[in-house]
Amino acid sequence: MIVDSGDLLNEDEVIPATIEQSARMKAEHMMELQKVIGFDAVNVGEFDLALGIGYLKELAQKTEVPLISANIVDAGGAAIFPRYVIRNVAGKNVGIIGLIGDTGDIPNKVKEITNGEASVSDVVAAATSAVEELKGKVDYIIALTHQQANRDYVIARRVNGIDLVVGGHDKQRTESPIGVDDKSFIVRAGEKGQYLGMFEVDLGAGKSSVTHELVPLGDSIADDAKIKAMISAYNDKVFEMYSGGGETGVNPASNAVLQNEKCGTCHANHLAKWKATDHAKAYNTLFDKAKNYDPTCLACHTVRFEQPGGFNMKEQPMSLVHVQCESCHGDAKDHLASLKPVPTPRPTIDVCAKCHTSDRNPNLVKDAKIFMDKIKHQ
Amino acid sequence: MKKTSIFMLLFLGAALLASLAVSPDGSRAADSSKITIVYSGNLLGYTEPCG
Repeated sequence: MIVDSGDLLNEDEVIPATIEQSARMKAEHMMELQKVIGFDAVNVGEFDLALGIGYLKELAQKTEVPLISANIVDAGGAAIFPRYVIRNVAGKNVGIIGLIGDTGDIPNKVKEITNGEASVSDVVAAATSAVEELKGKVDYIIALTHQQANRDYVIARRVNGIDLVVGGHDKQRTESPIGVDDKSFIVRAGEKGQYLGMFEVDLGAGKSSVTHELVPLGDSIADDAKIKAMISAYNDKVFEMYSGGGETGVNPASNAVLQNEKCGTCHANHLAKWKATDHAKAYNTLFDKAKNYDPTCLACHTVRFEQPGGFNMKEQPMSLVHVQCESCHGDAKDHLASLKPVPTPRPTIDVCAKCHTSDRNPNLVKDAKIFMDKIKHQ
Repeated sequence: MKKTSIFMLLFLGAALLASLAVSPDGSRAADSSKITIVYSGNLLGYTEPCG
């Protein structure tokens, strides 16, 4: 049985109109991958709603990926997605309930993202109601939750009948299952698909026989040929959409005159040193992996992505590729026009952390000096 | 960027999932005494690392 706890399709809660088409393509691609992989149930996270509830439901129907949520509700309080699914595994019926957190910023985000079309109802009440319905129909019940890790204890403790809570939403992951009151377990796989969890129960021996493994998805696991081919096909489709008939295999940035040259008029030494850094070839790394038309990647490999005067998907201005001066120092329009200070004259490590996130560079803060030295250009 | 810190290797995961759910010899599918739940979370739309 394969399940996911939510936030599968979008990285952001707001999808700019300029990248909506590619975001939809990517969402459809992700759902098709889930279908081929054979997911039995996928919980709905708040970011999954960013392309619209109607579109998400349409996508679920088209790809037959079972999206579930017992407490994302419409204005009348009715569940928008199926609340649960029942699967038969090893001769046993297993009920899988989808839940999203009703605390912290999640409820407000759901309302904002859906323009009030959806809201989050009481998670314990929704779980309790679903469990009551499943009683007599299933042998085991799994709750897929999308909320802060500590809230999983509330579900496990207060809702009788749930055998396993599979949580997600933040980076917390469980190296071993957490037993709760000798009646259920909590597991979490962390974020961004870095790990897959495997929780196994020997039916002959009951809950005492649980085994668990958190498998890192590294290079030691061979590519799946079919999935790899699907991803290549998707990359080709994105290329065709944005390349404007450009020649395959030719980096469109190879002869670009960069915006940075304007800065170099006065800051020649800085510019020369910048040219020796990895920031000066950030776009090329995308091109080498055929990801140079992927908005998710371009956001950190171009200048001020989709901001006024910044790199945008529609025009694809090659003068604004790589991580240039304005990427860290901010919009230099006023500085270039009248020598007003740039918005961020001395960027701190927090600026770096916007792209060098903890999953990509876990030691960024600890090794801040080392990172800063790599891009030093004074 | 360190290769070890890259994120979302879904296609690698698929290989693992495929081997678990539909292994060629059908050993897991045929093992009716066990339920295996493979789980992921918070993939956030990544299909493979940017670079």
